[in-house]
Amino acid sequence: MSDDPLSTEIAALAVAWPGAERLAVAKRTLVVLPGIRMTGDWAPDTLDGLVIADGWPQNRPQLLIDAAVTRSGQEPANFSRQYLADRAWYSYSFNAAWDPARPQLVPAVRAWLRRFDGRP
Amino acid sequence: MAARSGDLRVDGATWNAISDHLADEHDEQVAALLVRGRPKDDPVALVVERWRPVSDAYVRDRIHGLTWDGRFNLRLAEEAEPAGLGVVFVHRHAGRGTPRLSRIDRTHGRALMQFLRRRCPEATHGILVLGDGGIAGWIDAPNGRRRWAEVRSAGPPPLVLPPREVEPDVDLSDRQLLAFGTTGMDAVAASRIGLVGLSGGGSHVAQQLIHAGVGTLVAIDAQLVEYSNLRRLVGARRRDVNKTLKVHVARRLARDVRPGVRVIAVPEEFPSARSLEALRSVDLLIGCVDGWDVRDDLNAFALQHRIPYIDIGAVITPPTGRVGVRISGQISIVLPGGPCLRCMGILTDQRVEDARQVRRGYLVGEPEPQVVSVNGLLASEAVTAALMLIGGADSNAARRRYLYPPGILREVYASAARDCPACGESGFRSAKTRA
Repeated sequence: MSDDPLSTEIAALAVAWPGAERLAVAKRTLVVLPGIRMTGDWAPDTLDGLVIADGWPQNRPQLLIDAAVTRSGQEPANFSRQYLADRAWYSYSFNAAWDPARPQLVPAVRAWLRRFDGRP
Repeated sequence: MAARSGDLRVDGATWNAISDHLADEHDEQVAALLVRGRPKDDPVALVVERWRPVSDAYVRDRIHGLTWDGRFNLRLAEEAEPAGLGVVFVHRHAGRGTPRLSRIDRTHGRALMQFLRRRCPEATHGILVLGDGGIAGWIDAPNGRRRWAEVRSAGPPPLVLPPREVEPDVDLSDRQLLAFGTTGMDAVAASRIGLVGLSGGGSHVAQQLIHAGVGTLVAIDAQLVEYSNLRRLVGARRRDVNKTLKVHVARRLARDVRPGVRVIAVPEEFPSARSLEALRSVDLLIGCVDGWDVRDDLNAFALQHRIPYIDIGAVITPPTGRVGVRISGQISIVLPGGPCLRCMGILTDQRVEDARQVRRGYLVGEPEPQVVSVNGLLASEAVTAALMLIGGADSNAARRRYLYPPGILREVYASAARDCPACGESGFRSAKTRA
């Protein structure tokens, strides 16, 4: 077990999402989360996520997913595609406060997923 | 069902160095290539990251086939494993035609693969034998054995082994034949070109590539023809408006002009998973896109897969006061190894991030002016560069800028930056999933 706070956070991600893998990319902190379950009738309901934690803990982490989700055939209003680690990822707009003094990654990912609970 | 296969891709400078090492007329030589590739892809693309010669210090026997000290293999495994790389051993057989594996090749090869499978179990390894007219050997992936399909280098000079078979399509009165010769024409007819964006500039590029007779055009664009496109989308008709996909306009043109050209139409936006899959097998990529973020992704994708990438773009400034219309355009050629669009100063973090913010709805984006003739001018330059790269031209300017007035195209100096986040030593092309 590492004492490095970031490694501890990534280990916590692997507990919450078994199979989580950190990508070996110079100067980047990228973690793939396999098998994320989407709630709220989104399709697909299971997908992979990518946590971008560059500049952690000062910078807010981002979560990207590997599919364009729809609900009742409708896509969310604003999203962008991004090519990272030789895969296509989708980034959805998300406003949330980030407190570097409480920089836990697992709650941050869960908060991001709740963005999809209520609205397309 | 076809057997699963794989390609080897390597940049021109690296390939030339490997070829020189293997070309020793007196002693058989072997090179170990450290490669990256995703085993679940089919065909798997193995990209050469670096290579190590089996130096004389390790050679044990040359008389009964080249054998070497196991410490060399150990050092290779120690280098490959932490980087998540595989190892391909390559040597050359003299003679024409497709080489055949010797008994020693098979026996030693199996032993090497067993060793590497134990030391680097998640990576993809292989044995490769080169001949003048083909390749032999096998790929040892975690999910099974595969055959080699192709070895490719963007060059210069460009290389495809074994040479692709093309349908004879030679008209001796063809004036393009006079320019490129039979070899160049065959290279064009065998080529696979990826084209992202088939609107203003991209439709001109598609039209010219089809007339020139490329083998396969992989066309990526999600949009339908709109009424406003009729001023600049060549090949589009009024009855296409709101009905026909832009990629299908290109496919229709190929059917009408040169049915031998295969158009793979992918009506999705880059980088969707399907577009990435379709583009991984191309020899050359041309980007005719508006967004800086998409350019950044194309730049990274091309570097990752060692695919030459040609980007075009124009900015037209409307007249203000006593100053008339101003046009600034660029054509940029990114070869494997760089300089890339970031080294050239075309892509910046700020431009890319602003473009992403527009797509996410945080910033407002405005449509930019476009004129059919400017699109056509830059598209023609892009296609000329593409044909020269495929045909084996020995040099290409990395970046040229078009300015109107006075209407000049001039070369802009560009060199690869060691600290470039895309193509430099710490660049993203080293990406590899590891636990």
